[in-house]
This record gives sequence, C-alpha cells and structure tokens, in this order.
Amino acid sequence: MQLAKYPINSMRAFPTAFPVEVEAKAMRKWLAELTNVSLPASRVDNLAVSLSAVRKVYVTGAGEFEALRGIDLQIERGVFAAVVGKSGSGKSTLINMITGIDRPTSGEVWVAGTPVHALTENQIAVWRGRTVGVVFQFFQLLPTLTALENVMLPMDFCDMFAPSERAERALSLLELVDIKDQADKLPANLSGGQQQRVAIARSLANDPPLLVADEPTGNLDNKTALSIIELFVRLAQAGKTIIMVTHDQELVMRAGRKITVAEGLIVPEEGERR
Amino acid sequence: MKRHQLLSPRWQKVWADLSGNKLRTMLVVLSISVGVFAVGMVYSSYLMFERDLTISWRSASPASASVYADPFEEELVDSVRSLRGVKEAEGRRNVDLRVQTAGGEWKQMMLTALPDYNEQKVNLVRPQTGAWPPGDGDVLLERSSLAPLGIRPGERLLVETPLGRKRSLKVTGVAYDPSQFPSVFSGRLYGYINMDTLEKLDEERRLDQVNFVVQPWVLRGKDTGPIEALGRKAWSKIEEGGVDVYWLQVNKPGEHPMQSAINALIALLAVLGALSLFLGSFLLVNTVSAILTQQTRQIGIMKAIGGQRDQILAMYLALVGAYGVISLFVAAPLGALAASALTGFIAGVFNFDSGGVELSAEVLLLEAGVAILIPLAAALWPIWKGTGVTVREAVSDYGIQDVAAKDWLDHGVDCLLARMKRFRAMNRPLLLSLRNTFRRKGRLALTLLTLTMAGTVFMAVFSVRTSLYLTLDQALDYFRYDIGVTFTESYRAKRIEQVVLGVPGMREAETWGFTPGRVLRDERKEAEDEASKNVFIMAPPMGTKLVEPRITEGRWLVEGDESALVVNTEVLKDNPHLQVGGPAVVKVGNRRLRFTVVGVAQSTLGGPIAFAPYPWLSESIQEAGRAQLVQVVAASADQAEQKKLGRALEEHLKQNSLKVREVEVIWEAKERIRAQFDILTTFLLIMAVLLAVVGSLGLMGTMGINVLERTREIGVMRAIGASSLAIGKVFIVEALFIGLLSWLAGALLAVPVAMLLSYQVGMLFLQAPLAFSFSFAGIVIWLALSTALSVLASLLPAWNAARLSVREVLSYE
Repeated sequence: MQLAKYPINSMRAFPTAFPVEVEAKAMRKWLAELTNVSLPASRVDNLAVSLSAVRKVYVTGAGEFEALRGIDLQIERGVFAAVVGKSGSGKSTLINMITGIDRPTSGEVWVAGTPVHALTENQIAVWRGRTVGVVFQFFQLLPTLTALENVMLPMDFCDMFAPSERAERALSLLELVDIKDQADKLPANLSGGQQQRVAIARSLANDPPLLVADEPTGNLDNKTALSIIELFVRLAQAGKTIIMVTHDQELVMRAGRKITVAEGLIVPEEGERR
Repeated sequence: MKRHQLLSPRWQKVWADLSGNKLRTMLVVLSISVGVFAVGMVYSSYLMFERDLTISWRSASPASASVYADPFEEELVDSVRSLRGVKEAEGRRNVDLRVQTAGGEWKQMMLTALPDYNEQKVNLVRPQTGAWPPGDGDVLLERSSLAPLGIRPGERLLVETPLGRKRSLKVTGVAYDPSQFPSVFSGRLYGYINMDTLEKLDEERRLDQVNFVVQPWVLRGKDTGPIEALGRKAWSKIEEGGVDVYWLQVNKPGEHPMQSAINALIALLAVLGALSLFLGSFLLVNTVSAILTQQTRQIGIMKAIGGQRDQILAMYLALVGAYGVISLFVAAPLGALAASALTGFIAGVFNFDSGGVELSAEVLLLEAGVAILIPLAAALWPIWKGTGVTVREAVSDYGIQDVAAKDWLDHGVDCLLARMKRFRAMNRPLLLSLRNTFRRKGRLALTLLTLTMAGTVFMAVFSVRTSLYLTLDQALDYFRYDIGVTFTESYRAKRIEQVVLGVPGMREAETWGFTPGRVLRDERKEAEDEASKNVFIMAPPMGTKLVEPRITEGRWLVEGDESALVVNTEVLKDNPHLQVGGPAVVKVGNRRLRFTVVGVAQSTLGGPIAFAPYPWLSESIQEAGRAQLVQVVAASADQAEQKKLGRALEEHLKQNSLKVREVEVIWEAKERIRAQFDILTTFLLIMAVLLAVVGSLGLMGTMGINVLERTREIGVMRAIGASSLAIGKVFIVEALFIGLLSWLAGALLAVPVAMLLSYQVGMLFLQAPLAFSFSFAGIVIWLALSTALSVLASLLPAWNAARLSVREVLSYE
C-alpha cells in the first residue's frame, strides 16, 4: 500500500495558536459565546497526552460514583498505545477525557499541548475536529451520506483544506485504508470492516496528530480486526499518536505500549514502576 | 457530476434527510401546508371581496334609498327628484306574478318594468346576452334566475296575470342586475320587461318604486341618517299624491347590502385560518423534536468529528426552512385554487362579478412568511435543545430508551391500570399500549391539544347548527296556518271568506287587517321627518288560534284590547324608544294612531311587524269589515297537497277578481329560510372538517414518530415472538386511546365554546343571540369520527412497525 501524497505522515508541529483566519471568521458569527473558538495558549512539549491528578465523579440516582480516581498519564508522540481493563474499570471515561468528550471533575488534561480541561464545549468541538480523530466501536457513520461524503464531513465542519481539494483528499484517504472502490456507497451497503475503514479514514480527514479509538475492532471478525490494527501500526510509524481501547490481548501485543486501567487508576506495568 | 461536487457534505446530509425519509417529509410538509393553505385562502378571498364586491356594487350606481308604494304616476318621480339633496331619482314597476318553470311548477317571479332601459341612472340593469332592451311582450331573465327557472333565451315563459289569465312572454335575453339579491339566496326569480308589456299582464302602466341617489354633500361618511331623512321626505311627497307608501329601504353608502354578512363569513374563515395555523405549528414542534431525538446520535457524531453547535443548528434550521419552502409550493397554488372556488361560490350566492383570484404579492409574502418564519420559530427551541446534546450523551444513547422517572401522572395511570386489571380485561400488549401513551408527555400533550381543539370546534359547530335551527324553529313555530294570502288592496272580509272557502280542501280561513305604517319618535309634527321607521301592522281577530307568537316581554293581545300594540323584536331594534307599557305613535296613511305597547314578540325573520286588535284598528283607519290578508288552514297536512291547494286558491281568487299580491305556502317559506341558514351551516361544517383533518394529521405524525423512536423495541418484541398483527395492534390501541382521551376533553370543552360561538354567530348574522341548544349528535359523531381517524392515522405507522424485520431493527441506527 502506498501512502497518500498528502502529508498525513509529516507530523505537524502542534499548533501554538489557531490560524488567524479561523479566529476572524468566528468573530463574525452571531453568537459570541457560541462561536468563541480562540484557544488558550498552548505549550510546546514532546507529549501527545499528559494527564495529571484527573478525577471524574458521576452523580447518579444511586449516589456518587468515582470513575477515575486521580490519573497521571503521559503518552509521547508517535506512540501506538493500547488501553486495557475490565468492563467498568474506567477506560472509556479515561479516553473520553483525552478526546474532550467528557470533562474531568478535577485535574488537568493536556492534549497536543492544549489544556482541554479549560476549553468551552464549543472550543472543544473545533479543537477536537482538528486535533483528534475519533473512531468508535459501532463505526458511527452518518447513514445518509456516502463513504466519501462521510470522510469529507470533518473538513467541511472545520473548514480545512480548499473545498475543491476535499473530495480528492478524501479519496486518497479511502485509498489509504484500501476501500477507494467503495467511495460512493452508503454505509448500509458496506460490511462492518469496510465501515470501520471508512470511519478511520474519516478520523484522518483533518490530518490530526492524535487518533483515539474505542474498541474499534469490537464488532469485527478476527482477520478484519488484525488488518485494522496493521493500519494503526503503519499510521503510528508515520508519526500519528494512537490510543486504542481494546479487550483483545492479541491486539494489545501489536501496540507499542499497554496501559492497564483498574478501578479508576492506572496499573503500573512491569518495568515501568516509578 | 457527483453530488458532493454540488453541495458540501453537511448540506448533502440535510438534502439526504429531506429526500431520504419521504413519509416524514410528507408529514412535516402537510402540517405546515395546512396553515399556509388556510391563511392563503382566507387572505386572498378577503382581498378579492374587498376589490370586486365594491367595484361590482358601485358600477350599478346603487340607489341611496328606495321607496316602495302602491302604483303611482310617473310625475311623482319628478317631485322626488326635485327634493333638495336628491341627485337623481328613477321610478320602476315591480309585479309579482306566477310563472311556470321548465319543470312545470308554478313559481313566484318578480317582473320589473323600467320606463327607459337606455337611459338608466340608478340601480342599473345591464344587458348580458341576447336582445336589449326588452321588446313588447318580451322578457329578459336575470342571470341568477336562469338555472332555477330552467328556461333558456329563445323559449317562451308562461305567466299568470293577476286576473288569472295565462300569457306567454318570449325570453329574448339575459340581464344582470347587480343590486338584486340573486335567486339562490332570495329564493325568488327575476325578469325585466318594458312598460307596454305591463298592460298585457293585466297591470296598470304605472310605477310603484322610486330609487334615488343623494348629492355627495348630503352624506356624512357611512352614516345612513341623512339618507333616511331624505327618504322620509320622499315618502311624504308620494303620500301627498294620494298614494299609500309602505316601505323605505335605505342603503349604507358605498356598501353592498350583504357586506356585513360577507364580513362575518370572512371573520369565521379567519378564525379557521388562525386555528389551522396554530394546530399546524403544534404538529411541527412535535415532528421536529422527534427528528432531533431520532438523530441525537448523529448530532453527537458530528460534534465528535468537529461540528460546532452553530453549524449543526444551521443545518437543522435549513432543514426546517426547506420543509417550509416545499410547503409553500404545495399550499400556495392550493390556497389560490380554494380561494377561487370560495369566491366563485360567494359571488354566485351574492350575484356579483368575481374578477377571479390573482396571486398577489401581498398574499404570497404572507404565505411565505407563514410557511418559513413560523416553522422556524416553532422549531427553534427543539433544535436548540437537540443540538445542545453532548457527545458523551449522544454516543452512549443506544439500546432501548430508559423511561424517565415516574411522576404523579404515571402513578395515576399505574393505579388506574392496576384497578382495571382486576376485571381481567387487560392483557400484556394492551397494558403496553396504554403505558406507552404516557411515555413522551410533551408530545402527548401537544397531540392531545391539537386533537382536542379540533374536536372541540367540531362539536361546537354542530351545536351552533342545532342552535341556528332551534332559533329558526322557535321563530317559525309562530305559524299555525298553512297558506297566507296577501291582497294588493283590502276587500270585504265576508267576500274573501266566501271565495276562499269555495275552494275544496280548505278547513279554515281567517281574514286579517293589514297596513304599512311608520313608527314616529313622538307626537310632534316634526317627528315625521326626523326619525320614523317602517312597520307592518297586522290586525288578527281577537282570540286567533292561527298564530302562536313567542312573547318575550309583556303579553299578547286579549279580548277587549283597544289601542294595544304588540311589536316584534325587529320593531324594537329599529325603535329602541318603545317599551312595554309605553306609548307608540304610528303614522298610517295620513292618520296618526296612538297605541300603548303591551308586549314584545319574537321576530319570525319576516321584517318589522306589529300586531293590533282588528276591531280597533279597522275602525281607526276606516276599514271596518274589510281585510287585506287571509290565513288559511288546509284540510290535509301533506306538503304536496298544500302546494296544490295554494295554486288552486290563487287561481280561484283571481277568477273572482281579487287582486292577489302573494300566496305563500308556509312550509315552502320555511324551507327557503332554512336554505339560507344552510349556507352558513355548510361553511361551519367545512371549517369543522378541515380541523378534523388537521387533528388526525397530528395524530398520524405522533404515531409515526413513536414507531420510528421505538424501532429497537419493536425488534425486541419481534425477537421474543410478537406477530406483525400484535405489533400493529400495540400502536393502533395507543392511537385509539389518545383519540378517546381527546374526545373526552373536547366534549367537556365543547359546551362553553359552543355557547360562545352560538352567541357570536347570532350577533354576526342575525344581530341577536341564538337560542342555544347543545348538540349531543355532534358528540357522538365526533366520537365515531375520532375513533375512525385514530385507527386510520395509526394504520400506516403500525404497518411500518410490523414490517420491520429483527435484523433491520437491531442494526438500526
């Protein structure tokens, strides 16, 4: 497989600030709070993800439940990390912290140099669109759009790349995940593995430095699952940071790093004890 | 060209949502269209009436007032014309005769003779087709009389003269008389002849009506006062010529006589338009909320890949805007079509020229506003809420939805269901239907509100209808005789009785005195010119059993009464100064009669009528032993028999040289009045049916949404062995339950609403509140209708639900 001519492999320097034109465009919008996407100053370091003392408490009808109980975690750039743990251990909550899908009750979450814990919901949306590619267990393609259009959608939302280039870029991403020939099909006409490939292509649309996948192979057969993992390995080699939640021990072996979560805490790995 | 090259993916998604779910798009478009259609129809009809009614009326150079009298010479018209303030005056002759329709029936026709057809100045009669002006022995038919008469130009019209002779007139053309109520509405036929033809019809070559137009300086806006004052002067002028005057008709300047009735119809339609719009908006809120609920996860995904709230907000607002635009394209032409049909119908009923409906910019602008802005406004809140969902909430939202925590309503329902279970009437699926009903309370509330409002108005309309009929029946209950005969002059009562009873089939005949007069404000001489209102005085013999007036105040005439007077409610309305126990001064001919008002009777919709004792009145006007009316009771109660008897009576009277003005078979008169009422009730029923349609659309939308939302649940039911029938039944029962609930609420609300509506309709059309009667038939009909509509509305959604396979359902997003 040939890597696309687009610079998905050239790791961009983490943005120190968002391009001026994005900010100017946003200011023109009608609701200031709603559209305020200017981000706080980011720091430059070599870490893709840095969590310190992160706690997450859910208030439910049955009382308080502490999903994360003070997590400290650093992941370097270009690493393919696998997050493992039993059901209910807090691993989904952990990656929701990293993607900004959920917020910590306390503690700091720095992703790609940006303090995610300090962003508003709307800032997170823009930031996530450009910085984190999310892959879900159930693929979550929009059912009414074709594979190609699904891949183009993030570029559209985040106003990345010239409109005339988007289709071409989306095609080359589909080529990268080996399903260029399915580009004009609707998700319902694709197999699970094909849908997940489209979802991965979509997560790469805005060339984010970080890819987060929550059990991406949970709904796939073994062979397909392996080929997806192969894809992740290649992407990591090309400089992407990849964080994947999985149950599958065989897949964990392929990852560069294993992060085990149990009862809301990271379990130190052998030889990694601090 | 691929579609993504035309539209960016997010607009592509909007397009796919729009075109991909046809049923949903249809539902939303329908709910918007209903309001747009109603508003467009009402507004363009209104504009058309504004324009055409006035144009049509003005083009006729309508008379400011008309004075009706016994036949007089043409010179009297000149004396009216010479009055200060009169701009133009013109006389004409109206003769009421019997003519034979194409069907062989004898009907009353008013033949009008104009002295000069080519020099008309007031109440212009215009040529439509055929000859002009009518030649000697010819007749032109008013265009609205063509259909009821069934005789076409070129054919001959058989006429019976006052002397009972048959004459045949040639129909040579069609005329249009804009100032005449058309036959459909008045139940009469009209024809136009020349003065020479009068003699052929055994009528004198004289006039009996003066139409005049006042000088512009006389007028004070729309006030009829100055015209009335001048009319009374004209009245006096004609009376000075020794002629009995019996009626002064004053028209509101520049206004069609039926303007207020048309305005009232438009007001009713406007209420309908507003209601449909209101209900349509409810449907929309429901549907848009459901679309967003259904797409919660998609919204979450879009947010997860970088979509901002304002971008997503814009997408859904655009979706609603697009629904609005489609609705506009659907509803605007339909609205114009309906307006055109409606105005055509009303133009026919009121006999004016409709210039057709133009799709004016005003109407389109209003429709566009209603189609686009109102849905956007209605959808703003659900969209704002729907797009506020966080990614975590959205993505974790799968599987069967949780039922919200129970509140008092659920506990109430549970309690009720538990009780019903004891009767073993409850099985599990039925229980599921009933519980499901209360799952989405906001949606249920909106659906119930829509259906209840529709049902309430539907039932109220039925009550208005029965109230109208009750009012009519009460008024017409007055008549205890079968045929009423009015002569053009008075005859000896004995002679009339003799002639009348000479006709076989008569049981009883009673002669009455009759005279037109004017009620004066007081006894002063000046009062004659200041304010006086027409009144017809009827003088029944004491103790008559042939009428049963409804006395609303005071008492009816009794034996021994002398100058007593019972006035009907119309007289009271014209002369508010009259009161029971007080005096009344009535000018009859050149005499002034002083009465004491002893009672007030309910009007029989026949004009301002007062009743005085026959012995006293006939003495006072020196007509003792004479009569001008005879009321007849037939031996047979059969309608056809009575009709035949009426004809025989008329012929017999004419043969005996009694000049008959009119022979009226009472049941025919009742029918005619009912037919006029029916125009109104038909309108009300159309209104009710439209609302019922809106209501059931609402229910269909709700059930459709419920099915979509519970797709996964349906799959689970299927997986545990539910048949298609069982699944369909769950939804149909739920819809039925909603229909029943709304029926119950509507029936309760219908009572006050019906009262209010009856009062308003009475005030609008009859200037008096209706006698209220609640229609239980309406309640039963709506029960049947809402049950049927509920089943019908849930059939499609239920079928959709039953069709889903387990595989489809479990892979359902």
